[in-house]
Amino acid sequence: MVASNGSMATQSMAHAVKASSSSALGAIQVEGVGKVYPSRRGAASIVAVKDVSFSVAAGEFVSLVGPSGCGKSTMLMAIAGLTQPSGGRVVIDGQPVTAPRRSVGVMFQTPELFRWRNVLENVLLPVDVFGLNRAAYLERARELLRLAGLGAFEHAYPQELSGGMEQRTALCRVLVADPSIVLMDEPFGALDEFTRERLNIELLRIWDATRKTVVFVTHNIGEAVFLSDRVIVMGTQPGRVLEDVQVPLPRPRTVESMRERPYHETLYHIRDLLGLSH
Amino acid sequence: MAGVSAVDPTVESSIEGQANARAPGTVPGSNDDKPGLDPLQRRWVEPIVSLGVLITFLLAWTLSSQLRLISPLVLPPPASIATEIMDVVRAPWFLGDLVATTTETIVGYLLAAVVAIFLGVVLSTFRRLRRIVYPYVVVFQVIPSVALAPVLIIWLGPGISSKIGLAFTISFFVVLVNTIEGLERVPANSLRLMTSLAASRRQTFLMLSLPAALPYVFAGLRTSATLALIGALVGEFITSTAGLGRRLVEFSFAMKADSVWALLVLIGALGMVLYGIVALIDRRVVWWRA
Ligand SMILES: Nc1ncnc2c1ncn2[C@@H]1O[C@H](COP(=O)(O)OP(=O)(O)O)[C@@H](O)[C@H]1O
Ligand SMILES: [Mg+2]
Repeated sequence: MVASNGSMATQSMAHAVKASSSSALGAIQVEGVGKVYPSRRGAASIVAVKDVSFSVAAGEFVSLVGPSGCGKSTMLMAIAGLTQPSGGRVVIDGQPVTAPRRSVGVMFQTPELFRWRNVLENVLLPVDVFGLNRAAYLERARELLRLAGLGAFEHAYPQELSGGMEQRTALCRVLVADPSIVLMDEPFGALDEFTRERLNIELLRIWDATRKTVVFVTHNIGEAVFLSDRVIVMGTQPGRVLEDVQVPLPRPRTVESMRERPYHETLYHIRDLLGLSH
Repeated sequence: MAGVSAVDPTVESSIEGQANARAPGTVPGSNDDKPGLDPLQRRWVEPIVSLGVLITFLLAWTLSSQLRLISPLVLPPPASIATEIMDVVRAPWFLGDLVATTTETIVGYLLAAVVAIFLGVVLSTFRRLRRIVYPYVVVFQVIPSVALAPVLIIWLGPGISSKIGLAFTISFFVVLVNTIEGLERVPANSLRLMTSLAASRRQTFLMLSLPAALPYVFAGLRTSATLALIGALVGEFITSTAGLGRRLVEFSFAMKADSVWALLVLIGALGMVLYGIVALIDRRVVWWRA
């Protein structure tokens, strides 16, 4: 239902969602970040990531890809201000990150909806925490829910939703207070392949309309290539950047983009980098 | 941790029970029942069978009394217990004793609930304090609280306060341990979500931790509602000036079997009413579990 009236939805989305966003905010610089987790009970301390540097321009969609344990989540948490790097620093819009900030929204693999709040109230959680006026954000929340195909479910409770609907709700929640940066840690990783693909397409549509900076963590290479402007490929032991890969696929992208040559070339290039045989 | 295993089943089973109640057509454990029955019929069949079991039991009991298989001193027949219940309820002392026991139970219970929840929140907030104090909480929980009855009577006298004290002591630790457990089990990612929103501690507590812990807190409150009544009764057994427990001991010493059994039934009813009230409040407050 949402995909069918795509362009109209995208326009009203742009109208509803862009209204308050100031344009050029949301640039990220990751400068030589390292993270060492101290040893426990005599075991050697773990070097999660070592000397990672990259930057993300405002409005860019960048994915972090790599095998599990290569430090993707650690990097995301460092950008979010949820963990302090042991070395180096993260700079957002010229200011070093020392703590979580309102302009950076985080989405986890699990939706973390509150069972005692209905869908609309869950979406409004950031508004409540920020001490903003609920009434002023009600229309925006409803608009986001409509665009995520949840218009009819604003009064439903999380217990009544499917996994895909829960993550859509979480997506609306992260967007409602208009952050300039959205960090997503394998947001659709727990969903089945069909739901995941549909949500990826919807995510791209919403991103097209809002042009927020997105850093997207996944271990699914195809997903990363399909979504991103650039894919930062990471390797393990210690976690580090193997290559910063540009994705030469035109936008807007559709399911058809996955048939195109650049898609496959980039995908196999990344597979080679990660040592996956094909 | 002694409390852990005590906490989980209550919460889990009640959640499961509600979930089953929500889906029409699923009666717990009835999947392999007679396939000919539709779900609506099944829903009626089980209570009717339960009632049948009770009636059969009462008939067998009456019959064995009539045939003198059981002495009426050991177990009076149901009919004479029923008659005695009516007499007890009409007796001039009954209301006073009922009020005494109920008051002791409710006052001790409410005090315990308030103090235990407050202390649970404090201990969960200050982790270091909890690590220092928690071992003693566990030790205290292991001591059978009724063993403290003689001590409480020395401290608080033979009147109502020592019974309130016992109802308090016996129901306190369950609520405390469950409150701490509930606050411990707030999902780590939910907490991280609140941190990522730069929420204050107060906001995180009110918007997330407290509601997330409530099912556990109420599991404790339900258990301790019956415990508080036990505390009051045990206190009255030992020494007291009023109450259903004292009356029970008197009847027992006078070998009035009918009266003892009548009182037992009435005390059971009181316990069920108290539990029912707490269960009702539980459903209202933690409505989202349904
Ligand atoms: N809190 C932690 N304590 C100790 N080690 C950790 C912690 N978090 C992550 N690690 C370790 O750091 C490495 C990178 O983890 P993570 O960032 O979660 O990787 P990814 O998200 O790519 O799977 C792993 O070896 C992991 O075991
Ligand atoms: Mg991870």
